[in-house]
Amino acid sequence: MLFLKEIKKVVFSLTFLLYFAAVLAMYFTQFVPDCEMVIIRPQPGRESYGTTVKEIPEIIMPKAIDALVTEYLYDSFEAYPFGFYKEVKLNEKKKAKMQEIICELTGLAGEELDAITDFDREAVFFEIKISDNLTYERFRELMRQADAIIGGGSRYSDDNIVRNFSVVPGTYEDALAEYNEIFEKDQITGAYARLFCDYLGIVVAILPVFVAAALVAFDRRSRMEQLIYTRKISSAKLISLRYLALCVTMMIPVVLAAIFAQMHIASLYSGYEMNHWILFGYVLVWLMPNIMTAAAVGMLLTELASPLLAVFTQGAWWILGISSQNGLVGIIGNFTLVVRHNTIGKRALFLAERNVFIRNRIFYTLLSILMVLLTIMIYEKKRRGSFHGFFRIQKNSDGQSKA
Amino acid sequence: MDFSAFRKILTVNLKHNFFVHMGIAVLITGLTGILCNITALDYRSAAKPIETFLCLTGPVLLVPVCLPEQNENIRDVICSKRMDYLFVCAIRVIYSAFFLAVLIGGFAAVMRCCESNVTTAHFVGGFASALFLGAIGFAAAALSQNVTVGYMAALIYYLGNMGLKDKLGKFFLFSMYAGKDDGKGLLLLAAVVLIVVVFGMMRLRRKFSVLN
Amino acid sequence: MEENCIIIDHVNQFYGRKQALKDVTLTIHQGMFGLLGRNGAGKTTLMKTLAALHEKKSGEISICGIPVENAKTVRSITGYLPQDFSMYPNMTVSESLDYLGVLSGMNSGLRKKRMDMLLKRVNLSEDRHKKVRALSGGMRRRLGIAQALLHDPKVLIVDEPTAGLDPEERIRFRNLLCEVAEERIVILSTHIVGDIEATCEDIAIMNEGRILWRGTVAELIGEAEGRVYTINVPKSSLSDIKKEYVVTGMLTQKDFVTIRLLSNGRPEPEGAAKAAPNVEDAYMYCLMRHGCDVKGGEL
Repeated sequence: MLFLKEIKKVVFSLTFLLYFAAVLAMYFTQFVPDCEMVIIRPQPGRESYGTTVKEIPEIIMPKAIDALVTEYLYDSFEAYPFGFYKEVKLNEKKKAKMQEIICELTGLAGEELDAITDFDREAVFFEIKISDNLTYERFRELMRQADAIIGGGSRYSDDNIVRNFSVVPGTYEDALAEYNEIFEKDQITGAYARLFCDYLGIVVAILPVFVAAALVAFDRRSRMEQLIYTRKISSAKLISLRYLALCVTMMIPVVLAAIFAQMHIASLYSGYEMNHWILFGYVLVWLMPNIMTAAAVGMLLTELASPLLAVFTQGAWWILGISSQNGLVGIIGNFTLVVRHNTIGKRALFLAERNVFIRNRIFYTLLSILMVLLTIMIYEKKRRGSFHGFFRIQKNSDGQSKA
Repeated sequence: MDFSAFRKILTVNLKHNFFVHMGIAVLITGLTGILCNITALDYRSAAKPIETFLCLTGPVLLVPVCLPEQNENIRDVICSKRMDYLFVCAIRVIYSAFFLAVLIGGFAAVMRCCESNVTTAHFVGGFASALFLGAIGFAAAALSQNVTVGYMAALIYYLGNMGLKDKLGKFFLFSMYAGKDDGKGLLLLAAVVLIVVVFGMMRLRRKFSVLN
Repeated sequence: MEENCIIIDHVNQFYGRKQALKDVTLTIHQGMFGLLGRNGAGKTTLMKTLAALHEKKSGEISICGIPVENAKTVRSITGYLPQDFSMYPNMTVSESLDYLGVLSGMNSGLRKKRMDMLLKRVNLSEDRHKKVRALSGGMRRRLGIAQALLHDPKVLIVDEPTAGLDPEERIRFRNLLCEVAEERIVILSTHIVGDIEATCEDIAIMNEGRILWRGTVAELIGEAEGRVYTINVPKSSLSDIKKEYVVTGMLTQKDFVTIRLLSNGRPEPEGAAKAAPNVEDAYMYCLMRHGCDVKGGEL
């Protein structure tokens, strides 16, 4: 059976062995050390219960306005427009607009603000006041405008403002609620499943591209292409079976790690009731699209051009993706390939992004299927000899021998 | 060996086997400059773009050293000539390493012009990290005779650095950014030793095992 | 004497555990020498060992008086054309020849002179600016022979040179090799008997890593004399005959098949007539005589 033969080809490839080792290494070196402590029920009367983020206008507004005025006075705004840190300086026109915003926020007149700028900055810090008739809605609107002037990705953007300026000490009640969520709603494993997917997601978003590219390139290196081209099997069947084989095989180490994780968690919480399937559900929904995408990129670009193009493209996508995330919990973009949730629990933060998460995973699943369809088309064209692929060695075209 | 032969090997290889990879390395360097902040950074932060991004140019330049002869038929033709094949590979390693140094040096110089606190230590450290990561990829590619495996090995090591951090000790690529300056010299030495060992293994493999 | 011949003395070679060359002993003199054998007989291994591409496990090889361990010197006097010749696809014909000339340690004046001469000789002068990837199979093979001859080697080692060439190309290629062999040792390996017939006087037959037979083409044919028969048989009895005899040729007629077969005595079926053996028959007979399993057919 072709499907099994393709699986065998993948399993016995060096790239797959490396992938297998990397997945398990990620599990053992990252996930396991994070899970050493058993979560216990919080006791009342403790000094600290960590911190928590709450949208409390009374806390956000003064802190954010203070930060904005300071950055304005130094003319140095911290921003992450592409997720990478950038220092923004404003030109005169933008400065004037920013001044208007600050005036409305603080209730100061333009001249008063100028005076501060000219005067000793350090001394006036604490005199920043909030305009009396500023509502929270107007405040958010003005901050949105300020973010636009800075060029997006600033500390005042909709995505960042609450996270940046409303970190408050947690209370016993918060801690208890968090505890209850983990044990009741997440049924323990759910809380760990997100951390598991967080770590493994990094690996499976990139390494499958190598396995897929090497598999396609293997046919080429062993000069099997022409032999396979002439077989009866349809391109659609061949490519989709091969793709399926790749995806299924590459799930093996992930599922294996998930089984280890399940056993590990079970040993930590023996005696507690826990859900034994939720982890595998997370793995399927969260990690499968990553494997599918990386494998599809590997197949498509290797067929189209070369394994190197596939590796570099996925590599660039991956590294720009993971290094541009300016937070590892509770931020999921529509197009984030590597979804992070680098913490145990925090179910509420994750659920707040639930719709985006689902949209995101559906998008990547569909994108992979589209790429596989494209691969089939390209393969069919190559098979009929109307396309030979970009940047690659053309095989002997014996028809032209003229000697 | 006369100099003209050396020059010829150098120019032919630069022309036919280097430009694409050089282009990708330049692209990575350019993107690093655009995406990362390189202005007015302190000593430690200045190491971030150099160590975490520019080090990727190492594998880009060093992994393809044996790529032109990945096809065993070409390899046989080249190896049947009087000139030692490893000598050709050595020339490629040397010019790749040289270009790597130029890229990282140039980038460091630009950062310096942007008022970042960049010193020779950044250059040497960045070069050591890039060369070591490249040497790992080169070793994997040369021994498996498969460049894909080479890039993969380098990337796995890079991932390991992201995850294990200073547990890797002297072999931690981002040590300057983590605030530990020492050990870069050792890393550089390790890179050179690794490359030399791989050359030795390539020689032994030709000697003792029959391929294909 | 030793300066003009290749002496292979009790050579053994292994692929992992599998022994690829078993106690091979041969002396090869100037001119064309054919190495005949099935696929996998060990021909390529022997050729690569002679080209100093593989190190032998034991035994001695001297190439024009130079021990093969002295790889650098050996490579400077041998030219090697592998079975599937390939060159960097993005180089042009002349660029790749020039580069390989440098690797052979030739100076630029000599390279240019030899390149012009050889390109003319292999009829690639007009294609010298073509990229290697654009060459046809035959042209590529001619480029291969040109690169192997570039440094004017004393020994030319050619592995399966005509496989995959059309009949016209094949004849040209054989002729070229014969011309070249006038002034040097040319070792040619092939599993195509016709190549040997057309070019070589001296041959050796290899099987499973061993030299089965060594002599001239005439001697090989002589040994098969009186052992080749032709016979007309009904199609239905063909499979029985194949089980019994080594069939070296078959021509299907309307109701019957005319077959050539090898037999030490007169074969059983009625009407068998003796025929003059050709090289193919003789080669098959040689394999048969040495107990190789050749029943049921073709090469």
